[in-house]
Amino acid sequence: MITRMISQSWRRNPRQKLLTVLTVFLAASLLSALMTVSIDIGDKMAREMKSYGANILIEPAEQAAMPALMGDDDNPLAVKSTLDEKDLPAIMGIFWRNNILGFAPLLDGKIQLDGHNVHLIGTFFDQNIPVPDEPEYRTGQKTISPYWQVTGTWPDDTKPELLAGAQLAKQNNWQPGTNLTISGQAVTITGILSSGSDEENAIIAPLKLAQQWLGLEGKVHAAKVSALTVPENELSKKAIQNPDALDAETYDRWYCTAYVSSISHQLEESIPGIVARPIWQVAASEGVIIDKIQWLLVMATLAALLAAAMGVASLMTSIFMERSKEIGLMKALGAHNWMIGLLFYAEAVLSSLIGGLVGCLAGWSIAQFIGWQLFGEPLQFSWIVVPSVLVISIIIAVIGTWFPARRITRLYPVEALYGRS
Amino acid sequence: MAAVNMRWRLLYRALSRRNQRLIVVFLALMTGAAIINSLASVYFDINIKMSRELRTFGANFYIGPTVSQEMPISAFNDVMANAPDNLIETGSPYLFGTARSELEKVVLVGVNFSAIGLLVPYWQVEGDWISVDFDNRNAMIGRTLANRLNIKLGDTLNLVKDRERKALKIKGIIDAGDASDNMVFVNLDLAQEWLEKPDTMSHALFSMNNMEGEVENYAHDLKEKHPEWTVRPIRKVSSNEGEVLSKIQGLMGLVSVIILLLSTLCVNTSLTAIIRERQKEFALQKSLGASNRSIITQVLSETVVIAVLATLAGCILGIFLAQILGQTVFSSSITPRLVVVPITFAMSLFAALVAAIIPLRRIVQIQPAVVLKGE
Repeated sequence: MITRMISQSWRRNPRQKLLTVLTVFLAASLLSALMTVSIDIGDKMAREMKSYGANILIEPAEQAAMPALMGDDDNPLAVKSTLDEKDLPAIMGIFWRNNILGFAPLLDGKIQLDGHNVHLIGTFFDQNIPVPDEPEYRTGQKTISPYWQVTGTWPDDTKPELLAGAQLAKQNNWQPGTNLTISGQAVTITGILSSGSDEENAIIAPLKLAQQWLGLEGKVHAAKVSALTVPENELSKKAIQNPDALDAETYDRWYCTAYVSSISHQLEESIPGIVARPIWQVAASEGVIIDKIQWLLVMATLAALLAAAMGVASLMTSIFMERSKEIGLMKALGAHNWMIGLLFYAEAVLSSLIGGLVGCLAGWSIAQFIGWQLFGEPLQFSWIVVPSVLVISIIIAVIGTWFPARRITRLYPVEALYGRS
Repeated sequence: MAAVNMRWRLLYRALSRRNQRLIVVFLALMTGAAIINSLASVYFDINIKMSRELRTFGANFYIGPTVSQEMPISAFNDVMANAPDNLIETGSPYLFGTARSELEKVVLVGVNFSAIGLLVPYWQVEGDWISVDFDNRNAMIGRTLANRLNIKLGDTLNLVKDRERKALKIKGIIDAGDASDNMVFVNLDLAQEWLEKPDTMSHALFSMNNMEGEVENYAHDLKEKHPEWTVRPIRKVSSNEGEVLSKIQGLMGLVSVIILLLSTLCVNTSLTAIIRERQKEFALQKSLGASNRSIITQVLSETVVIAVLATLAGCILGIFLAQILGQTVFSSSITPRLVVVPITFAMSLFAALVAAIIPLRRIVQIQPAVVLKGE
C-alpha cells in the first residue's frame, strides 16, 4: 500500500519531488565538497608549508654544534663529532619513509682562500642517492630549502662547481661564472645564494669536494630532513617528554602517527649513534597554521550544514502545507496519524537518498575543482565522505519533515478540505 | 492612483495572510543571508588573521654589523623609533659572548625577554618563560647545554669572572632544535655588564608584518640609509609568508563562493515551492482580468519585500556568527566591514529573484479554467 502511495505521489507531482531532490542535492554536494576538502587539506597545506625548509636535524649523539656566528676561535668545542655518510640512505628506510620529502647532509669547516679563512659548507644540491626500492632517488638542498634564492644556476653535484653566499660574494666581488682555486683545484661559482641566514657568509660546495678539502672523507657533521608531519597534540607532547612512560597501546598509536617526534624517534632507531631533533621553528609553527586552517574549514562546514538543514526544513514545511488537502482527505478516509507520518517520512528519505547520492558525485567534482585550482593536483578521495553525507542528508530531511509532521494530529479534515488551512 | 493602491493592498494582504508559510521562508532566507554575511566577513579578515598566525615562525628581519662582530645598540633603537607605523611587531638586540661557568665555558646571550616571546614563539620551554626585562637573577638555558652541565629546572648556574661570581637561577629549559640549545639566555643589561661590552649588541632580530612584502621594501630602504649595517630579511620566514597567505586566502575564497552559491540556492527552493502552490490564486486573478504583467509585478514585489527583511535580519545574525567563527578559530574578533552588507544584499536578492522567476514562467501559462476546476 505504502509503496503504491509513494509511487503515485511521485508520478502525480514530479515537479514537487524534483524540488525536494534538488534541495537535498545542493545540500549534499556542498557538504561532500567541504568534507573532502577538510579531510585532505591538512596534507596539502603541510606540503605547502614545506617551503619553510627542513624540520628535523640529525646530529651525532655526542655532538653539540656551536653557532657559526661565534667564530671558531671562541668555540669551546672546536672538535666536532661526525657521522658516516654511508649511513644517510637509512633515513629512507624508516616506517614513515613516504613522508620524507628529502634530506641534505651538512659538513662545516674553514678553508684558506687567498690568505683568508672562509667558511665552507659541504652539502648535496640535487644528488642521486640510491635508496632501497628507488635507485633513481634524488635529494638535496633544492628539495629541502625551497626558500634559497640562487642568482645564476644551481651547481652540479658531480662537477667542481659551487654557490657563494651573497655577503661573501659582495665582499670579494664574485659573480656567477667567477673561477677560483681552492686547495689547488679549479672551481667555478655558478650562483650567488641569498637565504637570510649564515649561509650568506659561506661557500657552499658539493659534499664530495668539501670532504676532500677538509680531509674528512666519508664524513658529515649533520643532516637536515624535511618530513611531512601532522600537528602535535597532547599525545605527542607526552611522548616527547618520555616515550617509555606510555603504555603499549598509546605508544603504538604515537609510533604509527606522523608526528615530528615519532619520525625523529624512528630516525634515531634506524641510524646508530645519532640524535634526531625537531627544528621547532618549522615543526611547531607548521602545526599551528595547519590546525587553524582545519578548524576554519570545519566551522565553514558547520555553517553550511546549518544553511542546508534550514533550506530542507523550510521546503518540507511548505510542501506539507501545500498538501494539507491531501492529508485531510486521508484523515477523512480513516488513515491513522502515524500512517500519514510514515508516508511523509518515507518520501523524504527517498528524495534525500537520491539527492544525497547525486550530491556526493557533484561535491566530489567541486572538491576536485578546488584541488586543481589551489594545489594543481586532485584531492584524495575518502570513502568515509559518501556514507556520512548520505546519513546527514537523511537526517536533515527527517528533521525537516518532523517539524511539519507534528501538525498532522492537529489538522482537521473539514478545515483542510474546505480550503482554510 | 487606484491601481497603485490596489497593488499595495494585494501585497499587504499576501504577506499578512500566509504568515505561517512566510515565517518558514523568512527563516530560511535569513539563515542564508547570515551565512553569506559571516563568511564574507571572515574572508576579508583572513589575511590579517593568518598573517598574525604566521608570525609563529618568529623573527623575519636581521640587522648586524658588516665588518666587526659588534655594533652599537643605538642602531636597534634607531630602527625601533624610525620604522614606518605598524611595521614592526617586536624586536630585540642580541649580544653573544663566552663566559666561564664553574664547569666549563658557556655561550652567554643577552636579549630583551619581553620581546623574545614573539621572536621565538616556537621554543618548547620546560618551566617558565622570563617575561620581563630587568630580571637579573633568572636565566633560560638550552636543552643540550643543560644536559651537559647536568642542570635541572630551578638549579643555579654560577658564572665566574676573576673573583666575581654571579648566581643565575634557571627558570626555563629551551628546546629549539637549533643553536639556541647550546646557549644561556640572560637579560641584555646583565650580559653587557658581565661581558664588559656596554651599549653594544651582536645583531638584532625583528618580527615584522609582512602581508604584502613590506619587509623586502623596508630592507631595501634601510640598506641605502645605513650601508654600514648588514640588513637582510630572513628569507626562510619572510619569502614564504606571501605564498602561504595567498594559498589560504584562495582556499577560503573558493570555499566561500561555493557555500554562498549552493546554500543560497538551497534556502530558496522553498520560495519556489510557495509560489507554485499559489497557482489557484493566480488563476483566479487572471480570470478576474489581471494581466500577466501585474501578476509578475506582484510576485516579484512580494519576494523583494520578504528577501530584504530576511537579509536585514540575516546581516545582524551574520555579525554574531562571524564572531563565533573568529573566537573559535583565531580567538579574536572579526572586524565587521561595511563591504559585506552590499554583497549579502546582492547575493540574497539575486537568489530570491531567481527562485521566484522559475515558477513564474509556468504561472504565466496557466489556463485559469483548468486550474480552478482542480485538474
